[in-house]
Amino acid sequence: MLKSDRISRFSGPFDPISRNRRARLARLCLFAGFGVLLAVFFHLQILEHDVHAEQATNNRVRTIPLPAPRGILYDRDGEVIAENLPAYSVSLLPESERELVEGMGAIAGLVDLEPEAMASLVRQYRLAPGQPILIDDDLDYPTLSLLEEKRSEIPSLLLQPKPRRVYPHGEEVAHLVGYVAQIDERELSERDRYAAGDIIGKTGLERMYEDRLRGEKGAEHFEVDALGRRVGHWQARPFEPPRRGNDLRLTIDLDLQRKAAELFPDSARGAVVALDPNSGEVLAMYSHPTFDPNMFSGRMPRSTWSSLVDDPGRPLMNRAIQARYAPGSIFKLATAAMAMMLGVVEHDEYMDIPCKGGYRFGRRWFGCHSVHGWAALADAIITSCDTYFYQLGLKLGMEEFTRFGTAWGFHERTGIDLPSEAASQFPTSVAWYDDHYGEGRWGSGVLLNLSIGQGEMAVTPVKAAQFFAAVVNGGRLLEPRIRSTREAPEVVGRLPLSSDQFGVLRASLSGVINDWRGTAYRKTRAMEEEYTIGGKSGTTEHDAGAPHGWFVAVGPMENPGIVVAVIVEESGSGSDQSPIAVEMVRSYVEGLSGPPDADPAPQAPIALGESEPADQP
Amino acid sequence: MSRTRLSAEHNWILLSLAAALSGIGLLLIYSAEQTTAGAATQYWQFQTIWLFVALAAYVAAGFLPLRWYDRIAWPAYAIGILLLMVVLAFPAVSGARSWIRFGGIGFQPSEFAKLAAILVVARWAATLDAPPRELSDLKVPAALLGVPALLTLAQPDLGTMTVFVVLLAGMCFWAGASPVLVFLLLSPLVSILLTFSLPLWSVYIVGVGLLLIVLNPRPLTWAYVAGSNLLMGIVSLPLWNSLAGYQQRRLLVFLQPELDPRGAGWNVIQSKVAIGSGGWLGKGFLEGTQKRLAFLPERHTDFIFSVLGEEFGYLGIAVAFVLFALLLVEGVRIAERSQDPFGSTLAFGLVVLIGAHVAINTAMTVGLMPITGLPLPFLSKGGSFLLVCFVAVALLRVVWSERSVVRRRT
Repeated sequence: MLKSDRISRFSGPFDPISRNRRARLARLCLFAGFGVLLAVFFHLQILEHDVHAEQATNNRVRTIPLPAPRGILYDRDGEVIAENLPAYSVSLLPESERELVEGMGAIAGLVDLEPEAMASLVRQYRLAPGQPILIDDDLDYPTLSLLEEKRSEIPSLLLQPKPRRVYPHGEEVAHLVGYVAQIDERELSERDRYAAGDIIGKTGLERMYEDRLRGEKGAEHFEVDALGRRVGHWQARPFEPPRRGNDLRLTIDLDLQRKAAELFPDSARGAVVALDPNSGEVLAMYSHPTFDPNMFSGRMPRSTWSSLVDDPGRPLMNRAIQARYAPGSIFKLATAAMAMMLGVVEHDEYMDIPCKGGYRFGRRWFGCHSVHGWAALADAIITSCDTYFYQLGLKLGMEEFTRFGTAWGFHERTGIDLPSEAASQFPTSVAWYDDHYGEGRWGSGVLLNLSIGQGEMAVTPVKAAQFFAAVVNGGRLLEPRIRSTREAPEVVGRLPLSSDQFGVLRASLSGVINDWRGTAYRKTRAMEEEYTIGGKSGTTEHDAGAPHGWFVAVGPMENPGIVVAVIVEESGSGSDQSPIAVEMVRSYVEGLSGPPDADPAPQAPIALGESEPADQP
Repeated sequence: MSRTRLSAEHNWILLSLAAALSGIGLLLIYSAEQTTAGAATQYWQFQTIWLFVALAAYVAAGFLPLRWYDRIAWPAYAIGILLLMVVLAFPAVSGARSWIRFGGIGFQPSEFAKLAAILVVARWAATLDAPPRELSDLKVPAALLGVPALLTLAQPDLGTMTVFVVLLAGMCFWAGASPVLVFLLLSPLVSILLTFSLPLWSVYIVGVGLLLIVLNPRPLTWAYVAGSNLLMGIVSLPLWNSLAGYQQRRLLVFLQPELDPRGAGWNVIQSKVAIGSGGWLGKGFLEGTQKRLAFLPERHTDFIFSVLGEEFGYLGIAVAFVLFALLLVEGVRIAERSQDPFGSTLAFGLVVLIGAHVAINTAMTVGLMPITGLPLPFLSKGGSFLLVCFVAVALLRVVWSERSVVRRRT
């Protein structure tokens, strides 16, 4: 009994020794198992911690850029040309394309959203899925508050302050400042540091100085949950304020600029460029017809855009730097300068043949607009006698004419700090004619035309102004500039004339307005001023329509402070435009010497965001 | 011998560990509810009530003598199998017919069936005169655990099926079967698992063949091992290849969650991010971002361990593992000390049950195991499972208190 009991207790699978053996193996397995688990968790939590911590952050943090206010544009006296106004934008920040479409559907009743615009936004989403999709960046307050109420229904809805670019004198400065608008797909592919929906300078100064003006985007960091809903700001770094772009002080005199717009005939097309001949600073630049750049800052209806593009007057074109016109008689100053410089003529020298209303060259008759008889150089400029200049041109010869015209940059851009400037056109050498017409298939007759600023040449208004500035500043061809700097002006060429020779040219300019024979005498004389204004008219023939009229005015002749070039297309006569140019000069000169109270304290611009100090005094 | 004297001897270690783990569980469930998404819930209050119910069950189950459990083993097993069949008639919850629901309350019969199956297998072990030496000696436990395993597979609940398989292995081992014999018994399952890779499977089959040659067992064992392994490979290879590409990918998501990060791979990716971002000390109680912003799925239940890892870091994980290890080591000690074959095997079966749940659940949170939805003992939300865990601890305590009693075989 006892024995069998012992056997049943201590033999078989459950005797103490075998239990102990199995228990030891079981404990070994347990420790091994927990050891493996502890090692795996150590690997995950300690060794790979950084990776997973970053994933945890990326999971939940959505960063939304905050647009930076652009730098402010001031005129030379501190008046505001471009500033920023607070406005609100509505964007969608969807997690998926479906959410985008749903979101657009939900707000389509509140904001203007056409089906084709929706399709384009979907394309934009596919291009950059993580970026907010801008729907409208110029919300009015009622719409803003209606959208605010929908916030909980549309998780992807994003309402943000978005500074809006505003030009207080938009139409007067349109071509100068250009405009800003949303970056397009091509610009996006060309530039770093931009995202879809960003505002970028498209033309004018806004484009030229984009890098200075744009500022630095800020960011808002949101925490989102697993469904993509924003639950609040990210506590660790909720907000990085945007930095306003650098302000820009311009050389523009806003009063003069507005004067140009006011004086320019409303029904005509053309441009006005005013330069300080001593520094090359652009005092005014106006092109007509104009447009309102403020329209581009908001969302522009397609119809408005196409009406601007399709307008036969081409209002978006800046005629001051992009349109080329034959200079006509204003070029006679250049012909005269070349001739004096080379010594082919003295200031009191007559040509061989007096003006009998024209000049016979070979078998061709080259007309003059009047009968001027015998005239010396200055008289020929004052009366704008073509006959004189035909002969002067022949004396100069084709070689010298093309050489110096090229040396003075009549085939080039002026280098003004604006984008898309057109180069002026000029035959750069005799070979140019051989290339274009074939060797021996052109005659010296072309030279006659060139001498009076016709034929194979065309200048932009800014080039004309630059040349006249050189005539009155001692011969320095200066690079025109709009951004105000303390640096010395860039000299891009020289007219190597003696001061006596410059004196002849200046006297001629005075004579055009103040001599009874002058072409502008009848239009602009009888000004009893303490200073003299000079100028030169030009009337240019062209194939289509009435001649274009040029007038370049300079004042005061005693110490020239301003050169104004005016072109009015198809206006018939250059001398008719003299009042615009002369009035510009007068208004500028008298504005400068006016009483101090005419210069009010600069108004405070609406500045959003912080800024670097302006880089100008 | 006096049973009363011994049963008065309480095992405080077990109860303290179970209580400590349940306390951690309550904290984590409370934290798991503090999210920005979804309706506010009060699961931690329900769980507290369930904890008291479980403690009452612990006391009640502890009063009953071991002999009584021996007696109810077969009826309990029969009820368990019946319920596992009945549950197949109930509607599926998240893809598996594993819940029996009446009105507001429901329970998973597999939880009860696991305890019942352990009891009957322990009964079988107590009838052994000698350790099992042949596969034919293991046909009884194989059948006893194979039936509920197949029934849970039909739900389908792969996790619970795996638990039955692990119980089979563990309890056969404790009944004296050598590890090699246990391996031979379960080798067809290994064969199925390896068929996703033909080279791997070929190497395995050659290995099994060599093992058979070395062991040279009876012809019947030969036939079973060789036949079943080859059959599994032959059946499942064409089966696998007949699956569409996306179906294969779904299965392979376990191996590479990145294949489907927003779908099947989401849970394990987010769980790993949660645990991995916890670091040494974690983000702090209630501060887990993966949990708070609902990136972590099944926060209260299957992935409660990920909440622990995110908010309490490696330190919290290590503490939990130490507590579990102490509990299991104490269970092994009870099985070792118990001189009664039924009690000893019962205790070891309970250790295997809890250990399998801990291993499968925690390994799942770091992507070592496929996601099977097996809860973590004491920590996961879920009243009936908490009850089962405390009854298991109560049974261990009963075995401990009667460790010196050798009962007459019945």
